[in-house]
Amino acid sequence: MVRLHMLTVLIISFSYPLFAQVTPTTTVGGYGELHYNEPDGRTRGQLDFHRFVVYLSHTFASDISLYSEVELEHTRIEAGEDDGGEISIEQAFLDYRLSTSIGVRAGILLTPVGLINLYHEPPTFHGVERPNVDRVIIPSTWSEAGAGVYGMLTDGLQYQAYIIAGLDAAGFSAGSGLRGGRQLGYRSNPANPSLTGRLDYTPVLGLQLGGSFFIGGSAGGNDSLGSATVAMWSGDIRYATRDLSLRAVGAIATIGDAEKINAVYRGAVADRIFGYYVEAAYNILPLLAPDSEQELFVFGRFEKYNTQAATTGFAALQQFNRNDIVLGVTYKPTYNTALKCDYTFLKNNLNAGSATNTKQLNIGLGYFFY
Amino acid sequence: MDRAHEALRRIFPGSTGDSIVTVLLTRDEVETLRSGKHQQWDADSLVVLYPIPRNDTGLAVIDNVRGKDQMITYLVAITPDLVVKDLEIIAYREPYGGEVRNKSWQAQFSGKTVSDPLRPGRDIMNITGATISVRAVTFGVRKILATLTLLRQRLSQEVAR
Repeated sequence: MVRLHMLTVLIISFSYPLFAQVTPTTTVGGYGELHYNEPDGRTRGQLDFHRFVVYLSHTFASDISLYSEVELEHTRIEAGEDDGGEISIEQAFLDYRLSTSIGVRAGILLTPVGLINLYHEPPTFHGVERPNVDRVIIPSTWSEAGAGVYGMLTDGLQYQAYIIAGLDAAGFSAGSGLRGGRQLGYRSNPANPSLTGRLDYTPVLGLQLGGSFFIGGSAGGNDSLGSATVAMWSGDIRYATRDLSLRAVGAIATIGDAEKINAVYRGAVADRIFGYYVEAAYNILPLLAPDSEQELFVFGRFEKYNTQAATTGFAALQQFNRNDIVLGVTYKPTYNTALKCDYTFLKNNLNAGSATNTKQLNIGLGYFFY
Repeated sequence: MDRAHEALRRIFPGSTGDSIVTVLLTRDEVETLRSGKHQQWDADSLVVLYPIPRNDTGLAVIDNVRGKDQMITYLVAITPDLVVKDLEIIAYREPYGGEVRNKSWQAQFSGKTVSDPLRPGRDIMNITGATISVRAVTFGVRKILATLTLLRQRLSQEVAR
């Protein structure tokens, strides 16, 4: 019996190994996306290397590591150009893993709200552009200086909880919600330490549930704004079988003292903003080429997002009560490269009955590597 | 190593868990294994195996595979017939993607052998947000099954000589 011989041979040596000793290493990787956007299908479009991201990571010891991402948007930055590109540190944090259930993280972190803010390598989501809910309700990419803890509590349940520098009410707007209020770790005003966290739960294989929040003041020490407390709550569901994937994300945020913010900054910031999207994608390639390991998804997404859900002192601006339908395909020759094409129908409540609704053709290339 | 010993005592009740062996692969063996599809190799000519046999219920192998930027230390328990009995992540170091530690995902490997294709996303379910870790661990299991199959051939030849 071969198997018995094998076991005999394997029992010959007795020594205690120092396993799980990881040697210091530095790794490099990155992701990027090239976009072609053509509004209305008639107007001339534009080609844009939207994002070029390089990540650099270092392992100091088995339980201490650094992760960082440097992002260049729109290929270049030019002095004096307001609408040029930008270069930013999207993430740069140190992890100290005390145990499976708790690790400490500090640096420039991703606010763990929603899905796209945490996972936005282009081949991992459908559609050339990120969902608008993840732009104007959850202001992705939302990274901030802070520190906190993370870990796995029990089988299938993970958490993250951080204290980060808060939002700045001066940047809030009628149409883009909290987006302009991100400090992004750029000499962030620490006057409003804010709490953010996320739970990820997998009840059964294929189903992933997430809940996340952010809460903190945004007055930045300006007493005439009151506390200007922002509270955001978000939930997400992902369900996948071998070829079908479904996801849904919802987010709602309340902005305290919006009336005071508007008095000081002469804006039309709402008391409440909210949005959600549902998306279904199906890999049709197995129907055409059963043995292929490539993927060809057809997908559809419906989004609703309203940055004027409730207002005080002025009538809600209906052009900011919007919904999108995105229909498209994602071709993935490898798991980490994607060619995407979609057609997006953008509507808002102001022109609901008119023919002026915007349509846009998007074509994109995306990759990540490590 | 405590987590590894805990895992071994759980998977192989009665195991004393301290018989350890290092197996050196020959250059030819490494070349044979490298030419196999979808296996991730980080070491050049050496695979370190830490089987805890003690009885005839099987053995276990501990190995590292690189995830996105950190090493993932995992343990595969194998029956004497080279069928996967269990999988456990001993140390997960990546900032995200820790869902490969979920038991429901790991259970997919039970009963798999070297002849199963184990393609991530096809035969082993992907986890969104943990794609890289899923691939790393899946390829690691394939590597271990291929290595043990090759070792069994070598050992049977040596015994026959």
